[in-house]
Amino acid sequence: MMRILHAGWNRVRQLLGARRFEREMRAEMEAHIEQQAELFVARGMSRSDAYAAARRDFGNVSQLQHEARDARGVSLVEDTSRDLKYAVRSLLRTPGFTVVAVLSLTLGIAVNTAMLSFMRYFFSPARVDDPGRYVEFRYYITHPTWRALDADTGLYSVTAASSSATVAVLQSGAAPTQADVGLVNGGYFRLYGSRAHLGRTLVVGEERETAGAPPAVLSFAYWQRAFGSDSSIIGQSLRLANGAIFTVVGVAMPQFAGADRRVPDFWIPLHARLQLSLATTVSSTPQGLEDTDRKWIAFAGRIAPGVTFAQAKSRTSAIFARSGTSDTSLAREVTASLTRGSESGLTTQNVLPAALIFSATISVLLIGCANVANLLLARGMRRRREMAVRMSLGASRMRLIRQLVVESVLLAFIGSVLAMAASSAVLRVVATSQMIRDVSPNISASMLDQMRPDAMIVALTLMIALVSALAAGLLPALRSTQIDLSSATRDDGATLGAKSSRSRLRSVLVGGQVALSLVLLISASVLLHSARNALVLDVGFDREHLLTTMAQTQQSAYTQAQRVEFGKQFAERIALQAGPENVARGSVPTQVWSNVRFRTAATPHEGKGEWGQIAFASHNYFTVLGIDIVRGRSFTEAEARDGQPVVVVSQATAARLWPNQEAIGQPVVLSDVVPTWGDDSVSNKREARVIGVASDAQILRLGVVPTRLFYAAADSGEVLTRLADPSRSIARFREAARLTDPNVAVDVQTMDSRFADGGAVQGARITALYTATLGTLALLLSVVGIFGVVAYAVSQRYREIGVRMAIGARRQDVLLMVVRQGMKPVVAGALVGALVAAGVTHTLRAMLFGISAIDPIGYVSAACVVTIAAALACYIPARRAASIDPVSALRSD
Amino acid sequence: MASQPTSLLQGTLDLLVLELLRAEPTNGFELAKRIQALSKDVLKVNAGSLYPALYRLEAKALIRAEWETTRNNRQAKVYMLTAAGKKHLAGERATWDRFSGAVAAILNREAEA
Repeated sequence: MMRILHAGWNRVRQLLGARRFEREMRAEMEAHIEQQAELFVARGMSRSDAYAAARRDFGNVSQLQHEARDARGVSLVEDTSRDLKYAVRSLLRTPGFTVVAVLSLTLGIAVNTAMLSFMRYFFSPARVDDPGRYVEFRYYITHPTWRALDADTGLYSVTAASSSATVAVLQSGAAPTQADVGLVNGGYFRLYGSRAHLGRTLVVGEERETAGAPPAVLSFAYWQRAFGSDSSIIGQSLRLANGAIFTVVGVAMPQFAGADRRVPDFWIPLHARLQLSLATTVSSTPQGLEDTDRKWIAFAGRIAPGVTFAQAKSRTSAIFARSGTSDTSLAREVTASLTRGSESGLTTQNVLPAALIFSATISVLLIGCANVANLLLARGMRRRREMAVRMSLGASRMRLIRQLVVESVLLAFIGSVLAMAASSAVLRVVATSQMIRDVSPNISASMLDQMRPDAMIVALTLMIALVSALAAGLLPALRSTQIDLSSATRDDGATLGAKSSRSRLRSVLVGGQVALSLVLLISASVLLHSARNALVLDVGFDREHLLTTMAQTQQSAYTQAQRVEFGKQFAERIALQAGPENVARGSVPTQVWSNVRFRTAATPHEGKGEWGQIAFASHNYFTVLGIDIVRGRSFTEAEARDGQPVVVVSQATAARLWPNQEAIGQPVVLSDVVPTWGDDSVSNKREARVIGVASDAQILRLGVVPTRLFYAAADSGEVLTRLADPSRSIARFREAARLTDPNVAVDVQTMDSRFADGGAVQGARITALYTATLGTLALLLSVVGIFGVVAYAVSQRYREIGVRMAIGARRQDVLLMVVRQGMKPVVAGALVGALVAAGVTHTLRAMLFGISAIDPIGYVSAACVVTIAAALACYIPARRAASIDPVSALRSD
Repeated sequence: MASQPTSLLQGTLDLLVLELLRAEPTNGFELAKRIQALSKDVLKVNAGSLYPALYRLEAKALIRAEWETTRNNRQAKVYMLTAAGKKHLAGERATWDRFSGAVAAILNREAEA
């Protein structure tokens, strides 16, 4: 046991004392030689002869030193540091190779690092302490219900209530500017982060502070933008255009985002809502907060210790049920809609593009690694002699492989350092770009902070680099050391026309690169085509001539009755301008619809029935939208006004629910209407009758024909107007809204622009752009790779080409030969790539609007680009080959 | 010595080194001289075999070394046996005795036959 410790201690000493060992060894050997010389001198030799004899007698010093070192054993650390020094020297000796290899790796790694940072930012759950106990509720609730939840400290240790509004802030001397304000309670800051950059944030209970000038907390970005980062802002007043005054008590941290990514400009206490309401239609009394009808609070909280998630759900549901407010209807929703904070932002909708983005990014890295592998293979060929000599001198193959791998790791490490710098720069550009600023100016600050590379990103980057190094370097290292010693040292260069396994491997790598590039470019091209097509797709209704409005009455916390009143007055005003036959009320396509449970005669009695969708329509909804009624009729004015229990179903719905039957007259029971936007849910059951069948229209989502769609008669939806040129009337409609009630923000947009801004199209476009960028990078790398391989092949076959030209080949024959050989793996790779792309686009078909997965334009254009680029990459070295002087080629070594 | 296989020589050399160091700690040069003298010039160890053996034994912690100043005011590296080395030596001696005994038994039996 002691011996092992001793031996271990010796090793540790050796780790640190390599130089000392060398010194001592030399001293010892000198001493030995001296002693031997003295013996010889004693026997009568002269001093110089004695020393010479002693040295001869000693033997081969350097070999002895080698053996001594071996006997002592060399540590891994020494070996690796020696390998590193050697690697640095040999990389510096071939700067061309090093630069191209490092750049290929940098590109591949940088793209992945940037993507990882972005994914982490985008999909990260809310930043709270103890995310396991953090919950959010999907729908707005009433103030009394929230207070009940807040009071039950045994259920939630902290609750956050928030609402938002848009106000006009007075700037000294300038016109009032619009600002987004968050109305929150003190618990909001306690939940999401109570640290302030300057001053303080609101404390629990402070939401009730409405006397005097209530406290306000500025967001970091707003403080920078509107107050020039003035550090004496604390204590100053913030005045609104309606006369309300607030006192600034603090500035939030730059990365503080609260519950949303849309960070408001400043936060004020919840009850100060009363001071925001401007004029006429809203009651500004404190009783307004007790209103059991208005749902305007977004709720989140931290479950108290000792309470499980299931318990929290049931207890919350019970509180809803007995709240005596309109939230009782949401009691059943709690189970589905109370979501845990630990769930990431990955929803079923964005899994597909996320997977695509991820694979695309990895592909670029793979292509970069393939480039490096090819370069290493070529380099290994050139160093064959060096390897052979070293192996014949006694170096083990493992040793050489280790040294070559160290070279690759060094390349990858340099690449990863550069990559992290590059990706930080790129992310910074993206975060501060106009695109992001359009979404919300405050997002830039939080994005920049959260996307900064921290320890985890750095560690991941280095790991990616290491894996790349091994992937790119291991195989060439194995190949380079697989040497038949005799032939290698003789160095006959390439035999005529030989196709070694090495060149096969290179071809496979090139083919792989081309295939991946093609897949990326095809995907991008198909997605771009789809995104463009979405803008002109026939959606079953007259999208080009539709002007839609959406009243944001939610934010003004109007009651149902007030909303109805606003809608009526606004619609009347519009009808005066556009003509009543062109104005309809109802659900805005793709924006507003509700889920509903329905039962038909065919539904079995047990069970609650299926889920479907319901849209609201006034009597001229179908004419204004240009949807044909193919059977039966549309609603009458009376039916819509009274909200009678009649429905129109879409054609596909009729075919599905009542195949081979007459849909008209069929009964259907509707219940549990749960809105996706805006209104309260309605739980009463209604027995309705089908009175008409409408032709199919993509009312719910672009590209999707709904098969369970009911139109219900109603007079109170959004205002939809048919106009010859909708975009020209936007300003007029906005003015009309303001005249009807200046408190209500109304979003006026043409149907086409809603489609263009819609999540589906934006998602497709962004994915397409990203994939196109990556595809271009991939193609660039592949072109460099192809160029390298072909140029290398030409240099290897220098003599062979000379021979061919000497026996009669013309310049264009040589050109064709080189290009043909270079393009062979490209064509093979392209075929494979096209097949894989077919599979990929097939998986993407959910994102494609109106074009098939095998979209000919997309495929052909991408294939052309790749082929031309590859041909160019082959052409340049081929020209050099064709201009070889056969005489000098034959004479060359 | 030079004609014999190295592996056998290495094991035997280690044994001789350990035994001589047990008797008296010394440096490499003296050790070589002693082996030559005690074996009556039959065994001549050159530096190329001795020093690797010494370093190997030192790495295994069977012997250890210290630098001392000799009579001539010179620095010499003196090797000595460790406790573990003593134990190892005893074991190697036993092995050697068994080995040489077995060889002798076979050779002598053949001579009789």
